[in-house]
Amino acid sequence: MLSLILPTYNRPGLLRRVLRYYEACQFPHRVLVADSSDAPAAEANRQIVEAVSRAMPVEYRRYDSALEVPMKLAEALEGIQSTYAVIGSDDDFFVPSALERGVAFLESHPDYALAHGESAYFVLESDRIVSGRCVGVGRYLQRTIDHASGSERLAAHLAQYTTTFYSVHRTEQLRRNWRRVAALPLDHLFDELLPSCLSLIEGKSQKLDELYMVRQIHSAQTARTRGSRGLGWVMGQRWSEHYARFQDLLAEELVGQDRITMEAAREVAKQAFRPYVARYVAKEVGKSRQLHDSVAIRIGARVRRVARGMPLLRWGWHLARAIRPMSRTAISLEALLRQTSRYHEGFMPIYRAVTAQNGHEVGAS
Amino acid sequence: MIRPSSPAEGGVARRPQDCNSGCDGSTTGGALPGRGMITLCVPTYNRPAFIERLLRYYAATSSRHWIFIGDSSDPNDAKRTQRAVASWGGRLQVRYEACAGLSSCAALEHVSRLIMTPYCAFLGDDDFLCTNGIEQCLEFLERHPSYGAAHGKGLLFQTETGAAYGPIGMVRPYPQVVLNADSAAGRLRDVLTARVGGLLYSVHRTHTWRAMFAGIGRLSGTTNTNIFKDELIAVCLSAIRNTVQELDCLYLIRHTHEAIYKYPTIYDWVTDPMWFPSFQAFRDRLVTELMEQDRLHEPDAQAVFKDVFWSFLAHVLMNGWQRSRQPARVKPVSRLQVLAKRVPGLQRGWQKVLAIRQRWQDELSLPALLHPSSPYHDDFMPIYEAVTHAPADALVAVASERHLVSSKGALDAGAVLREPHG
Repeated sequence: MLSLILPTYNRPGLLRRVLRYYEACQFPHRVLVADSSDAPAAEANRQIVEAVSRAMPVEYRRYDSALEVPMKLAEALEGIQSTYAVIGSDDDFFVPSALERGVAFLESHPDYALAHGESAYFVLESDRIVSGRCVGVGRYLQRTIDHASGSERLAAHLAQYTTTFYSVHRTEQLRRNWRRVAALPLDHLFDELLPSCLSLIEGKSQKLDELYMVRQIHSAQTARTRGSRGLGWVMGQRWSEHYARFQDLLAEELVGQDRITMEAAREVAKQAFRPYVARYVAKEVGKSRQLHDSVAIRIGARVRRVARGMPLLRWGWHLARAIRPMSRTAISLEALLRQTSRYHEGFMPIYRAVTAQNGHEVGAS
Repeated sequence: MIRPSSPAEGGVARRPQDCNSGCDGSTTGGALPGRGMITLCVPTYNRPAFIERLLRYYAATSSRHWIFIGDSSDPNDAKRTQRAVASWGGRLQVRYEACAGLSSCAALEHVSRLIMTPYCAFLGDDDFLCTNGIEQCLEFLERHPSYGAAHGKGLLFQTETGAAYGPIGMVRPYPQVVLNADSAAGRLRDVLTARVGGLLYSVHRTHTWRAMFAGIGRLSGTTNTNIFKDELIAVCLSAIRNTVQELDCLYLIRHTHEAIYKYPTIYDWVTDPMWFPSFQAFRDRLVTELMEQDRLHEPDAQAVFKDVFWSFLAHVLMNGWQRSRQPARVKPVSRLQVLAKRVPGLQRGWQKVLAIRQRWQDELSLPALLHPSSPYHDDFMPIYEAVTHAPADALVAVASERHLVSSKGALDAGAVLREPHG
């Protein structure tokens, strides 16, 4: 019923870690490793997949290392036979039971295009990417968007954008949307926005009350992306051209979904995109301000570093956090480590996978 | 396409060259302020009734200031505007410039090149610059060469009918920016964090004014209806070059109405296909100016521009979006209010009490301005008269213009600064 597309790029350590996790969970669904790594890493990845393929249904496919994300995903989705598909990179962990609930939900709700659940992110101690002490866990926002019309869903989605990249999709829709995105030369932010916007115009999205996914936040390059980032996105020479394509594609979809005129659909798309641009520019300006205030930031970071270096202080801080009363649905490292947490069971295998070092588990800092 | 000054009815409209002041952009030293020292630049498009109202006001206040009308109207309205100019030409120093086919900023640029007075200001055809306020600003600038521009208090008003003439329904203050920072970068920051509107209405020195508009109409790659071209470049250049002072006198009185020209919003502009070239032109112009004024190296000027402009853009986009989400506030009517309305005379009495309270609370409210004790009363009354007392021939014109509005659409009929090729 479900396939997991696992794109990877030059990160064999992370691929090994995530496949070992799925192997340990006895992940029942087909996993397609879509690898566009350069030669040495690609060979390592191939061997990793081969090693786990005896225990789980996993397939390795090699792609040109120059291939950008949309093209790679579009190509990877071409061969998928299952009714449902989900995309997750080598640093993302899905909880298998939540994926199954997502599939069951979409099976029984044909007006829904996406399903996902409660999600979290984690950060390992500095300079550690594959494994190490987990120094922070936070909520990774996911939302239910169940408005009746495509126009309303698009507006709600872009008014408070949360990614739907990791949601369970109907394969046919996902394939069609990535195909359309891959056909357009767009900047990577439009690459990310467009498939999620198209999916939400097509149907509603549901957030299930179960731990669904845990993502790692780190500084390593995640993929080969195209276009500019930061304020250069809106200020870039190709912004207008890309925006026009983005708007047209959304408008075409809205015309088909809501039976409105092309002109009205273009206006809906334009107005829906407005809060996203406003927030994006405000956020980027905030970031550049932070760079200007780097003295204050440096002092703050030094204070934190010194505090962390004092074992007694650190121990006291974590003890205080660990014993304070918490809701069963709270998402923090201390909350998820408690057996009373609703998400404890789903979280622990992931926690073990990322904190295990040479077979020994490294506890929280 | 450009015609010379229209011959006046019963006389000849004086030409700017006749003015008695220095015309090379320098200040005049001992010249008498307010006597042909300033040119009011009025771009207009298809609104002869407003031009007629404007000229009537200046004639009533015996204004000697030059009024240059840059008319981009369609032929019929252009004829009516020319007639209005001709009919007042004997009493005013007014020059008509046919600018058919020119965008508003191109018309303004064209008119600006003809200015022979040492000072000038922009004036919308539906707004007023108070004659006495202008003179006070001129006097101030003559005495303070370090200031580049000056204005007085601003007001915004609405007629009850929304037309050029009629009872005034609402008056409220219209704040204008004051720029006192020592550096050009500081003033640019101030103008972009305050409201940008209004600065062009300030009395400017002509040599700065010309520089503000130089080349804007010909900027390549920019569409005609573009806030960069029409307002933002000139406003930012004014801020970079000038310190701007506000005086305690009535100066700008703006008429807000449904047919007012609406600029595309900043978001419209960001999503316009010609966004990038117009942004580039804007950035390059401002960076060059910052380099010259603050003696900055290019990377430093670029950094100032980025910092200031991005904050402005973020603020405007966010505010615009939040405003668009706010539902229209409908004040609930209480049962007591419904009952009170049925009591004869009570409503009128209540209105009088409110007016008295307003008069004491807000010196720029309509009741305060109408009271002879107001320091702004004498300057406000001629404008009040010009708006509330329509001449008999204007009523016919207004009626036909309303027909025009309904047949062409509000924006087309009402745009002051509308771009003919927009």
